Amino acid sequence: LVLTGGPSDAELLAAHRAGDQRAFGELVARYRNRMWGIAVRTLHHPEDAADVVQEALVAAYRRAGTYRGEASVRTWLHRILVNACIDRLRQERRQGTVPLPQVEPRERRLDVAVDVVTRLSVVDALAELPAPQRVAVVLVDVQGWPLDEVAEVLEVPVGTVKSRCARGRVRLGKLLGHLREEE
Amino acid sequence: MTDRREPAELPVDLLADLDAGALDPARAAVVRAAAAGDPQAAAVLAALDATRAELGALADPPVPARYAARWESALAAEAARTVTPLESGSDPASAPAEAERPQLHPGGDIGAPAPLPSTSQRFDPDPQPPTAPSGGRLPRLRPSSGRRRRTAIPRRRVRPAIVAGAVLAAAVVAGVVRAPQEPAPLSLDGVDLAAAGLAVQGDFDVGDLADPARRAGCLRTVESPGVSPDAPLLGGREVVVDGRDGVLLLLASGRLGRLQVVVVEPGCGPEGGVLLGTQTIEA
Repeated sequence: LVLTGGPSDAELLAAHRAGDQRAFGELVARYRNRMWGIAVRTLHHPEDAADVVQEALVAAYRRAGTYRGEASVRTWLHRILVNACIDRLRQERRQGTVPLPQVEPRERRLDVAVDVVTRLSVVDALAELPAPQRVAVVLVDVQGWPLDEVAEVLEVPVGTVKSRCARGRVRLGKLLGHLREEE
Repeated sequence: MTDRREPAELPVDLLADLDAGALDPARAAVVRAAAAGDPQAAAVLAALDATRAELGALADPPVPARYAARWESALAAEAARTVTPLESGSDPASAPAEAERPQLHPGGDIGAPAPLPSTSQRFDPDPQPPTAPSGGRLPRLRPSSGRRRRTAIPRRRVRPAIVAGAVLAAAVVAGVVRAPQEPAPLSLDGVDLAAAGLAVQGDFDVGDLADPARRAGCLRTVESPGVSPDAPLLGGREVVVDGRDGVLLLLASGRLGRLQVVVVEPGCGPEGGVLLGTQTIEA
């Protein structure tokens, strides 16, 4: 969100580099909610998400001097966040702390009560995706970002983003019961 | 995949690629044409649509006030320990020249010490003294959630006052604390007002409204429902609401288990004021 008449993101970052102590706070205020949303949907746990947002904000604070303007400030900031999320997911995987699926994909059935009980929530289903697919789906389908900007954030071709989203949606479709597992 | 009795002729992954726009135009046209006459393919595409719709309906949860406060503390600590934090790694090609650097807040004090975290927060039991920017260790000034972490970081509960004292001591030793400073306003965007109110308990950064007479005059003027002008102040903080500066007041209600959160404009007083928000907290 950029308020009408207010400084642009780039102006705020420049002011921060120049020593304006409030400028970075204003920048954070613009993107904090969105960063939180991405982190909490990607990492599935609020405490981990809060850790990662903090890491990203501090990293951005430190690296502001290296911002070259090749991407928008928003893209730059979220690239730091997403990389932090992916690092956290990889760390969890190395430590073997990624929980196994607790609920099998639901079958299509008429019993609505059972269906509700056994159905994975969207949030839980997201957590079952591999990290690259999960991040792509969160940014594109949950956050509604344009594909080209997601590609820029993830530093991959647009086609890779599309492919990751496609694979992720198929997996989610099965977990959410919209698609059946192949036998 | 969509029907056990009669498997789809078109692979689901291929349809998903079509759906995602991942196929080149010529291939997409062929697959689209094939899918048009295939009810099962149509069902798969509808399922993908439904999946996307569910994802798109996910709203961002509000930022819990305790996390917002933690991030603010971490950034304040970062600001405090780096007098000119950004110049060392700056890129001359992108750094604005001195004369053209915007100064959005002329009163800003470069290198001014950061606010220390409130003692009402809980902190990690192993606070580290600030390190050099290249040290890589983040100041983890954060409240304990009490949840069991999935990562193997040992934790133990420590009394907040003791831990906060340790943080303060470490900061003093490291030369971080140089002079008192008011904390930056807390943004309430996306933050639940009740949670924000509870988070500021014990802080009294309310500017002129620290004066009981002025505060009473303000509360009388804004006529916040159910709030007594003489309500005892339990905490407060300068905030930003929708881009507007404000002061959040956490007030006792005189009734056990009930607190009031009131947000007013900073200049609020007996002569006038604007109510920006109010909420009752019931135990």
